Amino acid sequence: MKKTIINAFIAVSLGIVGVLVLTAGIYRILNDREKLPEIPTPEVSEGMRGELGIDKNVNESTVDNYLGRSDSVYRDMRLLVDPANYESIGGDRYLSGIIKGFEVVPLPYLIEPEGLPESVGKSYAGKTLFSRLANGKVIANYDESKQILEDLFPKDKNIFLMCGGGGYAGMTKQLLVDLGWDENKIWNVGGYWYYEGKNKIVIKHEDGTYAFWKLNVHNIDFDSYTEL
Amino acid sequence: MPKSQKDSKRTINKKLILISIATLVFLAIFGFVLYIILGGSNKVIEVEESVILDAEYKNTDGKQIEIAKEVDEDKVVPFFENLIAEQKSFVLYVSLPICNGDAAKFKEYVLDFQRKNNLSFYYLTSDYVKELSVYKTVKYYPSVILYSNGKITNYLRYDSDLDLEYYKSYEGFERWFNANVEF
Repeated sequence: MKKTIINAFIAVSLGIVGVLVLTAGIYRILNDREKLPEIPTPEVSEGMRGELGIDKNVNESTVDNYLGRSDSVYRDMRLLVDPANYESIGGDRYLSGIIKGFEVVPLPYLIEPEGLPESVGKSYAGKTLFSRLANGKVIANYDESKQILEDLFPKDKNIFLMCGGGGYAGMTKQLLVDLGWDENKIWNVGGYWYYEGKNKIVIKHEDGTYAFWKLNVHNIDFDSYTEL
Repeated sequence: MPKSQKDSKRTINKKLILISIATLVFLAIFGFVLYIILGGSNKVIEVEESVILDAEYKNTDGKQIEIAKEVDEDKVVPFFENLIAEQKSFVLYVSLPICNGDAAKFKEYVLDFQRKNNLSFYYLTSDYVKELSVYKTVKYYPSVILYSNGKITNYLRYDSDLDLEYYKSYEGFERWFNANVEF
């Protein structure tokens, strides 16, 4: 009898210990999940930077704090080589560098960039997924346009945008917001030129050649889509 | 007059005196606060030193002096720093590959202004600016930077609402330049 009681006591104790270990394990697993810092709500900068929609808090100086998040996507909106003559305003038509984790989705493939100065001329003038009408409304040019956009810029993720100086990124945010994306989940991080963080990937070599193979570029194959 | 009436009158007088004192104290505080506020807003806006351009940059053909084209690539930095060492008074325009909008048009306003006023400015692209001393002071471009005797006296702030109007039109830039430069 005594032995039975002892055995029962040991069994119950082991059971309790087991439950405790299991609970602790589950608790640990839950707490070991990715702890992501909160991202400040989008807020535009002052001055001309604000005119482009560059964010006051999440920008070239701070973007390193928000890289590599599983809840976010990172998009650079430049063409590898832009037909617009940016050299005329002292710029560079080539994508000379990028921040680690950003993937290239050229804005001119999504919609025609607006507001380029005369001296720069036209950017890419080929097919685009969307067009903006004179009344400001955005229309899809292909059956697949919206789906492609949703795949490239998932609505359930935070979306970080950048380009050379912040303009293409600003236009992309505007396009997404016009098409129903939540503006509070999209940050215009600004221009690569201003970035001095630790995650720079240099594409332009000193000898003037470009290492475009280092880039993750999203191709848009217009010929395979159904034109509207 | 009955005593109770006298007491009542005294009490009313006391109340009136207290109310008067309180009103005076309130008015004094209100006046003081108003003085501080108005005094603050009436402060003379600090005018930064006016630049008197060196003669070589005036009465020209409005030339855009692109330093990178004037000298070999490896001499851009020494050339520019030499202007500072020689304590020249000049105007520097630094560009940036801006994708769109008013920021890109800004260079056209500056060029127009130069041509109309026969002034020569130095031009630099963003390729070089991070190696120059100017980058310690001016972080955001495009900008126009004014040098007087080799020192920066003023520049357009790309990240400030205060300078927004000077970027957005020819007239805006003209107003800023005329207020800061004698030529």
